[in-house]
Formats: sequence, structure tokens, C-alpha cells
Amino acid sequence: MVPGEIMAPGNYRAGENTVKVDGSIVSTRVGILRRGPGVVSVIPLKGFYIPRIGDLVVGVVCDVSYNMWKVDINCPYFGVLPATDVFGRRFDPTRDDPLREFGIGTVLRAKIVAFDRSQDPLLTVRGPELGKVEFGFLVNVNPSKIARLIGRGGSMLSKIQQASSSRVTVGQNGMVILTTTDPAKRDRLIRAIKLIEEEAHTYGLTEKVVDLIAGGGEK
Amino acid sequence: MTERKTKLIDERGLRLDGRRPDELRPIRIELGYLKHADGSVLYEQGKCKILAAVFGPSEVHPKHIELPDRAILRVRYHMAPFSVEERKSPAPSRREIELSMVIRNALEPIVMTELFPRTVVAIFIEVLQADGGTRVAGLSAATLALADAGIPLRGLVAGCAAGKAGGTLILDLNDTEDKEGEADLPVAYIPTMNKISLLQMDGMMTREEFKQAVSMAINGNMKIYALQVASLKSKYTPPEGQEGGEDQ
Repeated sequence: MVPGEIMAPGNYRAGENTVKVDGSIVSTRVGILRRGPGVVSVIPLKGFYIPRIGDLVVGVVCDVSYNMWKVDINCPYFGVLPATDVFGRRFDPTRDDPLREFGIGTVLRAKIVAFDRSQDPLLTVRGPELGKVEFGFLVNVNPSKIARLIGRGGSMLSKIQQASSSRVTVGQNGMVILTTTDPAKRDRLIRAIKLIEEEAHTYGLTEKVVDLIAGGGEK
Repeated sequence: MTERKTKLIDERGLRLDGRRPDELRPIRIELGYLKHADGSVLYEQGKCKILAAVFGPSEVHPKHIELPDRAILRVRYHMAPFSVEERKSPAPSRREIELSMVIRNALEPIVMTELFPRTVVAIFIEVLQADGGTRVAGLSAATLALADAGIPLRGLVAGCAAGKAGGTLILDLNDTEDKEGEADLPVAYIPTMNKISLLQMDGMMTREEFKQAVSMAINGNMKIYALQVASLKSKYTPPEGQEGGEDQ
């Protein structure tokens, strides 16, 4: 599908990346047509991240002010992490120093709690597995390929974690953290992730990826 | 003025470069030409070579020009100093500033700016080599770069000029035909919406000729549109001919 291409007559519902024009459904992105019951949508092949409430994201602190952090979450808007989220209700700017908690460059696992057209995405680091990332390796993936990296019901991700026996955090925004101390394993993981990014549309990818991680691949 | 120099149409009715009056110059499209831009294309139409790149959407600086309900488009049409016969000053000329605005206005109806408010989409059009019709070729290129960047669009814009040279109506003028011919009529068209998004004219034509030239330009645009669609589809089609992912 390319932008402007007619996908289906109007008795379908317009799904993601489509609009209804004069009774027919038209694609708005370059991507693959997908039909569901009564709905058609386009899976984009390239794109940028637009935050959604509840998404797990990985971000890098890029600005610290007296009562909040600004976090680069690889999208058109900065993520905002208020100081009260970390210090609690009794946050007192005279006593608590946000800079000491998370300095610039700190990598965070966070969740999006609020976002709409008029407001920058509000983050939280309260919750299991959230907060400062102490060590690991950061990889960037095109956000439109994240769904493939996670797989159906997390199948791809759990296979990757099993095969590499290391922890992989996938942020919906396209930033991925690899937690492993073994450099060889880390390199294989990066190669596997890049493979998924490049060949997201092919079949039998999971096997290829597992082979790559387990055996080190043929290359 | 016209009789002064070259004969623009020969006895067989062919043009300077051997084209028929209604023939386009050969077009070559290379998507994703630049590594660092979010979307890019190298677009060649005859001797015209144009590089278009798109960045964004990203946060707006300076902050006060952002719009609360939609994204802003920033278009820069620029000709490289070596793109024309005599070195052009690299500073944006009055003409380039105007063309940037004209191209922005032509792109505005297709970019779904309301989907990402408070952001900016930056479009850069660099003319590396000019040979007539760069504004419309730049527009075709900018559209492809936007689609390549994954920015939601309502359709694609195709741009192509028509005009009159040596007393004949012709399509897709080159530089000589533009400068020595009687009229030049750049048209940008959105085929899927059946709308004209840019129409300018320079020179003299009768009302009848004008109507004919517009329909000629639209025909040319349809051909360019077909090439744009084909290039976008071929870039993203897996080589083994597999369509769709696992859930298809």
C-alpha cells in the first residue's frame, strides 16, 4: 500500500494508518494491507513513535530541572518525569535533589501514564522493572519494527531471551536494552535484532534468529 | 524573441532532445538515498538531479512558532552553486524563497499535520543539477521523501510542467524550451484526490491552449504518479516476492 491508495469499499471500518474518503478506505502510509473482521488497516514499514498510554519505553534523561526530568524517548515529544514520581508526595525541592537521583544521560525504563495532543507524555518509573538502568547495552530499532521484535504475545522476545539467557527490555519507542556481560553474546544479540529489523516481513524469522544467537551464526 | 535562436521543434515535429511533444524525460528514482535523514530520495528527470530529504516530526524551535493543533511544515528549496551554468550564489535568492513557499503550499493538502501537533516536519530539496522544471520535480521528490519517512499522507503529489515552444504545446520542458519558448505552465496534481495543488504560468497562451496544456500536464502527472507508486512498492517489497508478514 502507498499513501492515497484505495484499500477497500466503505463498509469496512478504517483501522490504523487509514482514512475514510468518499466512502472508501484509503491508506496513509507505505505498508502492508491487513484485514481483520470488518476492519482494514496498514502495517507501516517505516515510521516514528507516537506515545500511547501504558507503553513501556526506554529513554535517556536529557534535561534536569528542580522538579522534573526531561527524557528523550525517541519521539517528537519529550517525556516528562515529575520529581514527585520518584521522591513521593513529600518531595521538597530544598531537600531533594533531582540531579543526584538521575543525572543527564541516565537510561530509564519507564511507562507512559498520560499523553494527549496538548500535553507532553508523562512518565512514571514506579512499578516493577522500572527505573534506572544500571548496566546494559542500548540498541535503536525503527519503532515500526518493534511489534515484530516482540512477536505475537511476546513469542519472539521470549525466544530471544531464552536462547541468549539474558534479559532484553524492548521499549515501544524503538529503544532496546540488552543486559549481558558477555561481549560475544551481546554482539550476536545485536546482529539478531538488526536481522529482525531488516527482515521483519519474512517467514521463518524466529528460527533464523534463534540459530544466530545460539550458534553464533554462519557469518 | 522566439525566432532569435534555436529551432525548438524540427520538421518531423520532434523537440531538441528528440522527444515527441507529449513525451516526458526519463525519470529515475532512488529511495532512501541518504543514511541519516528520516526519509530521502534522489530524483532524476532527464538532466535534472534533485535530492530531497525529510526530518521529523520533531520538536519545534523556536518554541513560539509551534501550532497547538497541527504540525508545521518547513520547506527549503535550494539550488546548489554548481547546479546551473554560471555559478549561483549559495545564499537563498528571492526566487528560491518563493518556490519554497509555493512547494510548501502544494504539500500542505496531503500531509496529515493534524496527527502530530506541536511538531515540525522539515523538508529539504536540493537541486544538484537544473534543467528546467525543477520546482515540480522537487515537489515530486519531496512527496517521495515524505512517504519514505513514514509520515502519514492523504495521497501523493506529482508535478510536471507543460508549455508552448516553437508554436507547439509540449510536455515537461527542459531549460532551453523554458527560456526560449512562448510559455511555461508548471502543474502539480494529486491523482487520488483529483486536485491540482500547484499551478503557475509564465508567458503567453490562448485560453484554448491553456486548457489543453493543463490537461496535458495532468496526463504527464499521471505517468509520474505511476512511477512514484512503483518505486515505493518496489523498495518495500521483499526480494523473494513474499507479500506480507506472518499474520497476513
